[in-house]
Amino acid sequence: MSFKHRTLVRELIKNSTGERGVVERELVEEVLASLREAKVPRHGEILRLYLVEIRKHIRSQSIEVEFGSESEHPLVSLLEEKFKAFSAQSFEFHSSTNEDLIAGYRIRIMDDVYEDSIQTRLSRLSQSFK
Amino acid sequence: MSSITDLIRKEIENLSTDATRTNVGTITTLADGVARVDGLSKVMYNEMIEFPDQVLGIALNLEEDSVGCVLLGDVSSLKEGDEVRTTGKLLSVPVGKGLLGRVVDAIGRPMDGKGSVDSSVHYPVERIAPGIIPRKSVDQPLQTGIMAVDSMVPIGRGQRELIIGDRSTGKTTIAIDTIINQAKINKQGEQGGNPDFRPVYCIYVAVGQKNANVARTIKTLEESGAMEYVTIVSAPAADNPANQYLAPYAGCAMGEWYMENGMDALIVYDDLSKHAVAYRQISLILKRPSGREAYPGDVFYLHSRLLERSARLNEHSGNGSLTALPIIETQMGDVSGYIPTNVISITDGQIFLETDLFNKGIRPAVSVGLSVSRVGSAAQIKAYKKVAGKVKLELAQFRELAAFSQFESDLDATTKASLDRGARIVELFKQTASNPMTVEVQTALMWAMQNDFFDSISVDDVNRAAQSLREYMETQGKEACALIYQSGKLEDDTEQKLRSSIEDWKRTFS
Amino acid sequence: MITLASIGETAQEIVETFGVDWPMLIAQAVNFLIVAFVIWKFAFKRILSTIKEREKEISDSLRNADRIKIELEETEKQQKQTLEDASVAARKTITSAQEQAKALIEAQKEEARKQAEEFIAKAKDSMEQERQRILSEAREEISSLVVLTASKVLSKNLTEEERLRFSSQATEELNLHS
Repeated sequence: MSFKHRTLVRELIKNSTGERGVVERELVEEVLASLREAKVPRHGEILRLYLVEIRKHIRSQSIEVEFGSESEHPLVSLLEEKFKAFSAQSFEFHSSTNEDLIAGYRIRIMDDVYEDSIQTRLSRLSQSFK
Repeated sequence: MSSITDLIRKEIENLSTDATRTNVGTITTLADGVARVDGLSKVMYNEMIEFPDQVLGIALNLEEDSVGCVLLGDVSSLKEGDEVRTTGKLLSVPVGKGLLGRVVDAIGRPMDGKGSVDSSVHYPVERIAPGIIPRKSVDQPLQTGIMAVDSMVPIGRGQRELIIGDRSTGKTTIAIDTIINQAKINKQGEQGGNPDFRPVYCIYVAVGQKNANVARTIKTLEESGAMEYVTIVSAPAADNPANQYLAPYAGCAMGEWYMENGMDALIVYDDLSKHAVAYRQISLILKRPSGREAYPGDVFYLHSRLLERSARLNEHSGNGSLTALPIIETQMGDVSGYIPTNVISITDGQIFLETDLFNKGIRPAVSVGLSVSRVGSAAQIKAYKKVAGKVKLELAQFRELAAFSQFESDLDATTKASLDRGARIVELFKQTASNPMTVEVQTALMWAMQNDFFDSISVDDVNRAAQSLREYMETQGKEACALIYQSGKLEDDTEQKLRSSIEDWKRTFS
Repeated sequence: MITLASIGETAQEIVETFGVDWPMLIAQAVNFLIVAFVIWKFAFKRILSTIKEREKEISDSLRNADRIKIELEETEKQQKQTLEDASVAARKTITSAQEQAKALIEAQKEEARKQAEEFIAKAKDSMEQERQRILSEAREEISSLVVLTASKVLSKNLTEEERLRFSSQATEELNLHS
């Protein structure tokens, strides 16, 4: 993959994001349509790289939160506040329930995972016995 | 029972309740012990990666959108989409004296069923070799107990001496005999109570070998009582290539602990050709570009960074040493192969073993012409230097003359003398396996040879005579031997004693 | 007188009877002297010298016999000495052989003792190892049971409020900067 392609992909990503740096569906569709029409050489590779980058971008903007039970979901607002204080970037929070955790949370932001749940504590305990 | 509940209580009390932060990724492909992982954006090169079911992996390829990991251990339970996490730790192995007498795998886990390894210190597997400043030139002998080696290609502490030859020419035997001799010397030294005595601890790294061979080696070492000074790192042929690739580095880290703590250690890599093959496999699966013989471009660095870690440190750095005896298997005696030339150029000399000699019954089948030690006589005690100084030359001359004399019927007196002496030296150097000789007995035998005591014995009887003289020197000739052992020199009175003992022996020998 | 005359007569008669012829007698005397001289000159001297030689030989051989006797004595003495030496050496060899045998026996005894000790130590070791293995297995088993039970119990019996309390405390404690 040449430097030229990379610059192109970077430009395409810029075109796909709105003013707050958030990826927008319409913009992405526009970019894809224009890519189809332009028929640039090595079209497939550029498309692959673009999609990988877009996925990364989307992942970097969303935070997935898992809780042990339904009743804990309101805690998302507390987390939102914490993240706002931590970073200027705006995040989209998706919360779900994972009963394996029993109680507690598991937050995934890109490749980083923050977690504190009864499950992790128990597994840590069983690790310490080995 | 109460101890178990106590332990559980203690662990629960000590349990940390902090939130954890980890860097994770998911397996995208999995093949031949190599996993490709998406994510792991904060992974370090050579970092340990935790896979499900406590399988460990090492991040070897950090690419643009994925990470290539080699897996250590059983991969059958892993599948695509599994979550993996970084550990923040480089791969490290337990080191220290707790490993002596143990058999461990490539990451230091016990394999001998003798319980957990008693060690609190861990060293990373990959380390930078000592630089120029802490090093010192090699000047202390490391006796192999094999006359042909100790006299012609002496090895010093901190040296890297390659053992090279075709399959079944006795490469491993030389290494094992050396280990057995170290154990013998260690025991003798510890009994002698000399405060300056420096024992040599041994590490035997078995890479890509048959399990039966490893078991036989362990048995040999146990029978000769050497096991208490030896650690065996085993990555047998059935193990995955990642373990075979790591085993030498793990063994080296264990050896470095001795070196850095002012002790002497010996490490045997048996063998590095299989190590290169394992590395080739990993590299090909990781899709690294391949070069000559399909080896990756960094196969030289693979061995140079390993062997450079063997060194002799100076007094300021603790005066320790790590001697390496790498083994390379050649095909049809071809030393010009890719891996053999690489390792020959890295090491400080080689012991070349020839199939022809081996089949002729000359064992150890050390080839005089092709074996060298770049450290030379600096690694011999004075007494031995005195008697063995010319022997390599004499044998080389003998080989040359023997080739010539096949066509000549009558020879002049000097040629005949050279031939006779050479033939007798060849006989003298024949030695059975697991039967190392102390340096003082070797000195006595060489002295007897240099002073014409063997000249009246027919060539066929020389080996028997040498055996008999060895027994004599070990029993009745103890006094002279003790003098050599203590002073390391061959002074006039020592020589006088030696002469009288050998004369006494000669009278009884028939 | 008559007697004297008779003696004279008798002598006369003897001379006459035996026929002493003075010139004959003198000639015979001269002959005798000549023969005696010849014999003295050519036979007797030689016989004498031969006798002398014989005498010398006899005395010499006597002297030799004496020397031989002394030498014989000396030889005997030496022989005795050699025998004594040999017996001393033999005794020495026997002593050293005995000593060596003793040392060998001692060494073997020591070896056997060592082996026995090693054997016992090995057996003890393996017993200890076995004990440790069983203990650690038991520990792992029990602890995994503890963890399993805890997780089962907690997932079933924890009330919603308790879960919320745990979670909110954990969320409060979350430190993103770590």
